[in-house]
Amino acid sequence: MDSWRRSPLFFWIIGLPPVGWLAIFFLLPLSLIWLISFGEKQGIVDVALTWTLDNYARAMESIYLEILLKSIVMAVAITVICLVVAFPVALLISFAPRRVKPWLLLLIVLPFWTNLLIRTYALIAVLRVRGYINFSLEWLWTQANAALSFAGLGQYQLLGARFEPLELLYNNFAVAFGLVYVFLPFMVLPLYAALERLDRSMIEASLDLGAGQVRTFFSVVVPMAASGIVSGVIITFIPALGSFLQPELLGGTDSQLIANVIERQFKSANDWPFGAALSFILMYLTFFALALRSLLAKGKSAMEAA
Amino acid sequence: MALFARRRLEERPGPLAYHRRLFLRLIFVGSLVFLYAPIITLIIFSFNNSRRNIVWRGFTLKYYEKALNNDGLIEAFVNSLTIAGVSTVISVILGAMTAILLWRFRFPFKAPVEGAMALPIVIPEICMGVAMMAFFIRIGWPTDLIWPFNLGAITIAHITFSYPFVAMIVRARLASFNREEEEAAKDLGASEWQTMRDIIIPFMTPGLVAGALLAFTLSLDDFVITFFTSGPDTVTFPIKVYSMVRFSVTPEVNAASTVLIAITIVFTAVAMWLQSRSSQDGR
Amino acid sequence: MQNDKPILSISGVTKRFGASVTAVDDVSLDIREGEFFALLGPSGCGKTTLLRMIAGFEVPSEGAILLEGADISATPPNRRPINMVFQSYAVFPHMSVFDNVAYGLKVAGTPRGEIRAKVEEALSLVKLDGFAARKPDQLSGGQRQRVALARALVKRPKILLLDEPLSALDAKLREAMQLELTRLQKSVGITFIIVTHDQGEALSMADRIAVMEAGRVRQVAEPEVLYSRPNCRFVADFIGKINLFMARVVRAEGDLLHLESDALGHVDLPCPEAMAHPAPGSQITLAVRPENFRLGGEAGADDLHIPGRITDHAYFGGHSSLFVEDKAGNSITVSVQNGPSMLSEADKCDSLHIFCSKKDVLILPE
Repeated sequence: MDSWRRSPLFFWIIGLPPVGWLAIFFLLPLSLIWLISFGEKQGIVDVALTWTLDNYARAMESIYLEILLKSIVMAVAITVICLVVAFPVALLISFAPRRVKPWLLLLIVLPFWTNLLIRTYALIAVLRVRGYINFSLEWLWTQANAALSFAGLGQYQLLGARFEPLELLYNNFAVAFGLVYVFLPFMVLPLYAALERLDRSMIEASLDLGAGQVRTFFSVVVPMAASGIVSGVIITFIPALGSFLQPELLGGTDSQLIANVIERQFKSANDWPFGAALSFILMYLTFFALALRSLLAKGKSAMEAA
Repeated sequence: MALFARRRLEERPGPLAYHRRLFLRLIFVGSLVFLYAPIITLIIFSFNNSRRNIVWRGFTLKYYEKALNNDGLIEAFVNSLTIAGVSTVISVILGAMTAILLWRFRFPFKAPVEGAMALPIVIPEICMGVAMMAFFIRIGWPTDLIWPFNLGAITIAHITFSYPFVAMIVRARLASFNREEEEAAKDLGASEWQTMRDIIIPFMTPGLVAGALLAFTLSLDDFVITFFTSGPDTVTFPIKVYSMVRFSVTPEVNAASTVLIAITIVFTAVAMWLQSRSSQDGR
Repeated sequence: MQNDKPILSISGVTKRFGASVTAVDDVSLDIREGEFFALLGPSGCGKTTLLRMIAGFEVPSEGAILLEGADISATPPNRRPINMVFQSYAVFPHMSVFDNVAYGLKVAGTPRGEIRAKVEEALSLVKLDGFAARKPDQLSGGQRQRVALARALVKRPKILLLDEPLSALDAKLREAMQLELTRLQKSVGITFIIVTHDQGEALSMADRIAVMEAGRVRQVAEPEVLYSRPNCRFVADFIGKINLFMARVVRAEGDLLHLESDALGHVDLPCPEAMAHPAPGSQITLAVRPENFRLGGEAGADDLHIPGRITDHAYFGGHSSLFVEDKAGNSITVSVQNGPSMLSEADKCDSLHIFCSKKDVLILPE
């Protein structure tokens, strides 16, 4: 790495456009929202900057606090589910023969290249009352009933008088399902990267010293993949926390998450200051998660140094 | 007997052959089904000759025809591709500049600059969306320009969240650059710019291709940020699909989605092929 | 080809990184036109930094580098008629062998036809005829190094710099390359400056060697002189194997020093010319190369003899090292040629005398 003074002209030519772009089209809008969050609503889009904290106080009212907590709980649950499912998947890929490895990885990543909205939309067709899951269940129900009739038990209506489709869509379950569906590849990739780097002889050493596979997994594989786990958790948790599309399309009236409330303030309720305050609360939560991560990383390296 | 015993041993998976464990295989296959079944059914039923879209009633292309004749849909599609194209080109340029800047130079306030560059990647989309919306309304960004200039606000927003990703990828590539190659070029008489053109940019190429691919997909894929920066005349494909989906699930949407999936897959495949070819050349 | 006119003068060059690190500390060297010069030292001694200053990748903090009398200290690397073979070879991976070698000519604006002829000549010089169309990843490490060599030589530099050129090759190839580099240097007549940490490499290839330690040059000399007359303990210990003995000066009688050492006993030796006469009572170091000891036989009049016993021996094919412990418990390494009788004899005698001629005992300051 050279000091910028070594070729100042080159430094400015290459540095000014991207940094300038970031300042004008990112930091400026963000600062604007930050200022608006301390303002008072005047008209539809007019805001007077009064440095009031009312917007933040309002966000702490129980109705919004509840949504906030729910968003956090949902994000944590999604992250845990993704981690539990993605770990075996990543493990399998990283230990697969060299030849097939890139293909297996591609299989997991490919859905990631498919439009998020389309994927969410595809789930509607799967989950709705007249969707594929219910349709399959109904078919099974009919077959089972036919079998029962055939066995001479038809008249007892053991499986109910008629097929009751499951309410799979427009509830919290659908939102969780959709979020796991979308974020699973996010979790697999960092885990895979960490497991790929893992020195195989460590596992062999553990097995050689008499630990079983399960013990080896929890006391060698998991700690050594810790960096990948932390990355995967962060990369899943943050977008899950701010997810908008899944609760909007798959959720019901009671499955609103924080992002939906923010959207409403800007798009229909036209209460920019309150929406801005909620945005910044969400952003602070994100920063908190990131800080936690670097704190963990620091603690880990300190532990290793000791 | 000994031969038999050896055979048995070979067939049993080794202690580290995790890819051959049934339990892991089941989870892997289950995940694939989970990930693919919805998309594949969506594609299959785009050819289904039934509005209700559940029971197979025979093959048809009529929904593709309908989608093609849906002017709003086509317009949205063209808008999306235009935005993605422009945003990719600018993102790759800005991203490459950022990567070289951060890789090459020590300068005052480098850490804050690096941190700020990572912000668009980490902050929730919704926050960025509302910030962009407020920003463009506040500065009075003209909304009545003629096509394609009316897409300016969306394109700017897309570039803003794309180029830090490009920078990240290109920088990772540059990290493995052997600085001695750069010194060798200078030693042989090349100037700073000649070295950049002849040595560093060719080395960066696979990263630039990967970055372009990501930028294009991110732009084509984006819903949330576009949702806040688009107006009634600047509808992109995801926005259009969103408004259609809100009303009902129709085979027409399936058909349009299938086309987009196909485009993405072809695009990805070409980019990956280019990338593997250039990395074979490269190292 | 060799004459005494310096092509490159390094005068009082110091390089500091930040406030605390001094990588090169007041180095002055004259490198003669057409010679094969080696900068030798352990890693971190500043030899690579010195080379990079000659190439122009670092600017000296103090002092000047003169090429044929002109100060080039501030000239950027692309404007110096000096080329370098890098430690990693730095062969451009996206260019063919031809394009690699032609690169320096192209950026200099050499006409096309001329480039082709020159590149072909350079490739045949390093025995890579017929490899022009290959890509670097189709070459072995040794071939890649030849490309790097051809690429630098094709520019006909006034000086060719080589940064640890052989360190990435395996032992067999390294030996062959040593010979080839000397042959090449003699045939092209260009001044070579090589940086190495391998004393064998420096001794076998270079006309002169500068031994560096902690940013300073300790001794500049021909290989034979460096080996037989090291001027300090560091050089003696760094070049080859050597036994070191502490000794106390009893008195000085003109040029003759009377020394007392617990391993060698009482020794009278002439004081080396370059050394100031030590005061009586001061400590000095005596050194004897392992091959200058003899086992058994008769002691001559000028010989020192040490009684001891063999504690260990290590067999190296052509020779063996014997580890002898003297009465005071010092371990002395003795190198013996492996004849049919030698080792068996050594094996037999548990206690023995080893001898060495007085003229083989070196006196080192410090």
